[in-house]
Amino acid sequence: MRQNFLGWQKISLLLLFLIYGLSSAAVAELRDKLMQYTYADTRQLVILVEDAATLIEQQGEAAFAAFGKKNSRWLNNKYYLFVYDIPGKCAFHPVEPSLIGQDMSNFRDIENRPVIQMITEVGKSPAPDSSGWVFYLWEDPARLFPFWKSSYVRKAITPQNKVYLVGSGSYNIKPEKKFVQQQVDKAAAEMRQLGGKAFIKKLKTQHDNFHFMNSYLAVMDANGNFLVDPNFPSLNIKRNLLKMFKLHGVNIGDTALKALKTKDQVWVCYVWPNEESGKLQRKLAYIKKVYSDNAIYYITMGFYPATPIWMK
Amino acid sequence: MAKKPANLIYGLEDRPPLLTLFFLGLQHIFLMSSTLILPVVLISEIGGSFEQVCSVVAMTMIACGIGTIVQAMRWGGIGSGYVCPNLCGPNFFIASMDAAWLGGLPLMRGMTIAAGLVEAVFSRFVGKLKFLFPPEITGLVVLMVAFSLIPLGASKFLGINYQGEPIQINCLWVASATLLIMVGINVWSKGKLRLYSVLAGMFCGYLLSYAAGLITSTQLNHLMNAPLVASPFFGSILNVTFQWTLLPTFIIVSITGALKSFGNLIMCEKVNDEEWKEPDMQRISNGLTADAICVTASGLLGGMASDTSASNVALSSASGATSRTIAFMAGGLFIFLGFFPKITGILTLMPMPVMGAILIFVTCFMIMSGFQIILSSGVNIKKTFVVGVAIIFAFSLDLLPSLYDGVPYLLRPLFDSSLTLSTVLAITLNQILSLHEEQTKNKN
Repeated sequence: MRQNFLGWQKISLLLLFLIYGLSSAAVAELRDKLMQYTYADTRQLVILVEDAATLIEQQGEAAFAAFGKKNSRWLNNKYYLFVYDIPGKCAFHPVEPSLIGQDMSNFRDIENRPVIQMITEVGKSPAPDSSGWVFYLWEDPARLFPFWKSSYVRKAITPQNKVYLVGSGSYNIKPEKKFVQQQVDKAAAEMRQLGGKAFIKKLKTQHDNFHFMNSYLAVMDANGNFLVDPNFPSLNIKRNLLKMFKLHGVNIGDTALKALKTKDQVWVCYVWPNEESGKLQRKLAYIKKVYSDNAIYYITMGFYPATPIWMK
Repeated sequence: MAKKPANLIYGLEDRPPLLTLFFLGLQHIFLMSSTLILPVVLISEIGGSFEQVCSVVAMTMIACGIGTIVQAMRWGGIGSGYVCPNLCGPNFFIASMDAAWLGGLPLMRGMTIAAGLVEAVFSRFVGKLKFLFPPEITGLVVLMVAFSLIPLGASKFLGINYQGEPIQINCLWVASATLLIMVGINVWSKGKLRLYSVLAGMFCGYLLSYAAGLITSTQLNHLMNAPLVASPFFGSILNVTFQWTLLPTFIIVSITGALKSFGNLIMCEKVNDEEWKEPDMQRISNGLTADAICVTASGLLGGMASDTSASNVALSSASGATSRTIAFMAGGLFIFLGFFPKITGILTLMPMPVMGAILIFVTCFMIMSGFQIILSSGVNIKKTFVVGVAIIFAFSLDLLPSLYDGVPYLLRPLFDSSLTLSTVLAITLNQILSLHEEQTKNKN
């Protein structure tokens, strides 16, 4: 009996110790902000950059010294931080210190993507804590050729009112709904600004900055005819959404176009062969309706959501 | 006549006091809720609204409650009379997701009804298949059902949902503490405290999860804003569609589910009978019919397909309480709670580490039961190969799935789950290796 009691005492003490130890780890507010991301590794990267931005907002450029400490939270085998100012001058880069002080605004990746301009674009939003995702091809030490890097960038204003953009990236981020939505919304804004026809012409003649990983931007007219078709850019025959997504007798294109009659944007789910494995896989596409040049356009982009690890 | 094992506090025919019964039922419904996250994930994935999520969760609970009660009855040819509750079946998740992905909830409902009818037909024939299921094969089925829970249990224990994600240290701590509490009560406590080991573990697990920030304020806000009482019906109940092309997938999933239930029901027999020798096929057939009714009811009501719960059977064994009145209490509570979104919310909020710890805890009991059944009639050279070969190829499918990429399309369903592969292999091998025994018997 006494032995049993001592066992209970031990369990209770262990429990109290754990509750005390873990309560300090609760950062409720930030966690709620992170709810819009599905995957834990995406959230981890966002937390890192958000915390770095907070440090810059508190300490100004003095925070860079902490960012440069090896094997710290800010600089390790997995992550490093970079900081640029609004014009595109590198303010901090622990991996390539020679870049510090250089104007990098014209730097482009292997596919001619203006990487630094895309980063500084995030800072042009009026919000003091604006943030966004940037996707580009970057040298990966583990691979021979440049690989897709996804970077989370956040605006930070120092106590001296200097505006910086702090960010960090990863090669292993899985595509999220938010990424696709961001790219389509950006394309829709550009279409509204340039006009439908001019935007389509630009997409067809220049390399687009919207494409990332296995996701490509497509534009359709009101009847579902592809005006910009990333799979067949030089094909003159127009593919039609209604004739494409018919699987197991379900016409997803028809469902999507009907839904878009009453809504400005919809998410569509369907099954599609994976470009890499060739196997049928679940795919999600975001379609947004844009009014321009007195016509209706549909801008769309899709991605393959990851399968939970416990699901075969 | 079954002999009540000495370790049971409340046997099949016993009637625990009302308060004890309530807590035992509560313990079961918490465990039954451990997979209610599946409809939440499914509806969120297809872009459904919060109201749709609530409705599908509530309808799944009501169907599972009905199934649990029907299973515990022995009414005509329906029900095994055991505590073998139903929960939202992880088995059906991928197939249901594919159907919902293609044709929304109406198609998922239609295909779930079809799966239920397939199992109903299978259940009527299973009684004639007794010769296929000697103890070593039934034990193997139980063992493989336990192994099928490992990926879900281990990933939730470590707080990992997707490949590439880091281990969540907070999750690991909470899960370890929760598991330690449940194991500790089972190992060190005496008397009736063992009845509530899972409930106590869960209670502490929820507290620790809250302290560790694993229950977010958004989740709590959803819970606070949910109405106390609400009708779970959402949209038209007659909105059901069907696709022939999806039927083969659902037939396979349904048969796999039936095999799993077969294993669970054998475990029920074993837990309730100290002198258990071989499965009572009539009782198992009736149990599978009850399961089929539950699956069909899920589809008809608008919930996600269900499955009998191996973890709840193991819980009965762990707590030493297998009285069928517990199933009536748990089923009744589950139906009742389906009309209370606030309480449903608490169940669906079950934190990952708590879920992981419970799954690991109950899987341990199932693994030992599987081994016990396999070895119950002794070991001989035939059994060594029947069980050994089946387990080797089942593991090869789980550990090296790409080995089977080139399997012809027609044989694909066999390689969809290690449970199906091992069962088919063991049955086939057992029949082939028994030919010599038959010939020798005939000569003598």
